[in-house]
Amino acid sequence: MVQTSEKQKIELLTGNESVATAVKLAKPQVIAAYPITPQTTIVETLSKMVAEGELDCDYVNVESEHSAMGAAIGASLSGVRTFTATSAHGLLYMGELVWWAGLTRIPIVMPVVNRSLNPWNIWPDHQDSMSFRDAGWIQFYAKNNQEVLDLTLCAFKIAEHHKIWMPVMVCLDGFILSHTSAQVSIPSQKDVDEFLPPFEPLAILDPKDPFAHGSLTDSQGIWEQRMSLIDGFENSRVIIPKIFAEYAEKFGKLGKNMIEITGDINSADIAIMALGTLGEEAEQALEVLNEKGIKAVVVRLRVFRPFPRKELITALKKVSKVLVIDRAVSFGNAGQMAIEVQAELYTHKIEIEFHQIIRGLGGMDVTYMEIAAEVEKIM
Amino acid sequence: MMTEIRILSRGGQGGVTSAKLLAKAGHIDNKFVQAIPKYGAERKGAPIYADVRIADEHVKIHAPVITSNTHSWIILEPSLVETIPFDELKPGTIVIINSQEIPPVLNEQKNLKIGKVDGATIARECGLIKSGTLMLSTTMLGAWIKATDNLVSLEALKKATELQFGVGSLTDSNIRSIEMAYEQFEFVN
Repeated sequence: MVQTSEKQKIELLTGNESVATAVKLAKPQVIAAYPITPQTTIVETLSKMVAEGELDCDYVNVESEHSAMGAAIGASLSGVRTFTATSAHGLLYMGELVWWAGLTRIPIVMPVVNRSLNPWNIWPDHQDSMSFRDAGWIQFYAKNNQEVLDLTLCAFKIAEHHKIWMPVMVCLDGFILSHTSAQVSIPSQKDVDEFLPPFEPLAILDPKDPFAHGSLTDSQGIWEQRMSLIDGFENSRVIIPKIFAEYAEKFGKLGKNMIEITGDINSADIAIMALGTLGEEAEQALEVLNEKGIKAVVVRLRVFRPFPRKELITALKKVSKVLVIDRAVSFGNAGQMAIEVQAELYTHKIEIEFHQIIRGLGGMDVTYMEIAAEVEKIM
Repeated sequence: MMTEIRILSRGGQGGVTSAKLLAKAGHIDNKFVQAIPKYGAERKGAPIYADVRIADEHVKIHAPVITSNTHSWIILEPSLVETIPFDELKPGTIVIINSQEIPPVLNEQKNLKIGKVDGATIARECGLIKSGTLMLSTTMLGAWIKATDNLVSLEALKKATELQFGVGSLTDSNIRSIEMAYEQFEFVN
């Protein structure tokens, strides 16, 4: 039975409504966005909240995603909490400025509602956000509508932490989460206000005290900036789990880890790795496998950037096999997660049997029965 | 326990709304629920489907329902029975249809529990017509509740309807259609 409590109300929300609900609670001062399927209902819902006075925020209507990110960067530099959202081709179109925000460390929160990059296909895969995994953004992948809300709230606190100060992408599978209704526990405004203090700018672009941002920089300056960005990611490895733990303590959701392990890893023979909803679908596959006497466990990366090496290695040391399921491809090589997991296994001399598959491209359905069958094949 | 339901309709008839309303009713009954609309090139008149899961525990599955697992099918548009993969359905699967007559292809399925309600006439009588299209969502859900022996409560569906359409004549018409369909639905085998 669904358990309700006094502090949190449970409502039936789509993934996009979960984003909008979290954003409303986080009280951004500027939203600049452009609609694109399947993201549209996020900004539609937020613009309605602003128009009806439920959310006190400047909503900037722009003519493209390129301008949306441009406006978001400018707004953030003026010293306010800033939000935008996009999908697929919108992300590509804003690409130049996505890198600008990443490389110059602008603490914007942006959900990417995952959609195929095919010229015409609106259904989910991870090719869009994976194309930006190197762009200096922290990346989360949500497994269900609850985690969408939880990660979005944490994203603001993480982006704006002075030792991180970087943009965060919250990735959610298009339609599978964005348009599917499921129950979400919503924290009170009072509790969110306690968790997420007002935006505290590190530096403000002020016409009265001018300085240049993103101006011509020589190689020495670039070197310093890049090293600082690398340091920022190293800081985030330590701080993200702390913020997750604080959230878990306060709201009883998420865990303190950047990866989620479902099942008993100490007795498991095989670990299944998958991002987003495929990760939770794999949790259901565990029951099917258990009936067949196969001891499996799901190791799901809730955070893909920074890549949670330490937690991953600690987990994979305990199993003899791993199956990595990617929902995107680095063409000319393999699935992005598979490549990165292999690198860690080699670096740490962990000799386990490695398997990889690519599934669910362009919205192809992946059922728990299929995941279970893939595991059975390699046992 | 988890109940998986597939709703077949044409764009504009209210199939996606049905899924959402049924999930909302399950939510009001304190069940764990999911409403999954199949989006894509959907448009008015095109065949579409939507899925609902109602469960006693949190639902981890995200893929659409697996046909062989379905508990019941709600058919808003009778011509779409042709698209049901009957070979994959478990014996005893419920198929309820908006029709005065059972189409021959459905009549042949002796292993299934088949029922009908004249949803179109009920919707028309309740004034549930928008831009010339009959809106059948609440009507067919009233029939489904009868067919499933109140797997979701009638009260919860009425409450969900009110939350969806607000207090007023539209909700009143929909509630009337729910009650009429609940009364008139009958299994034919």
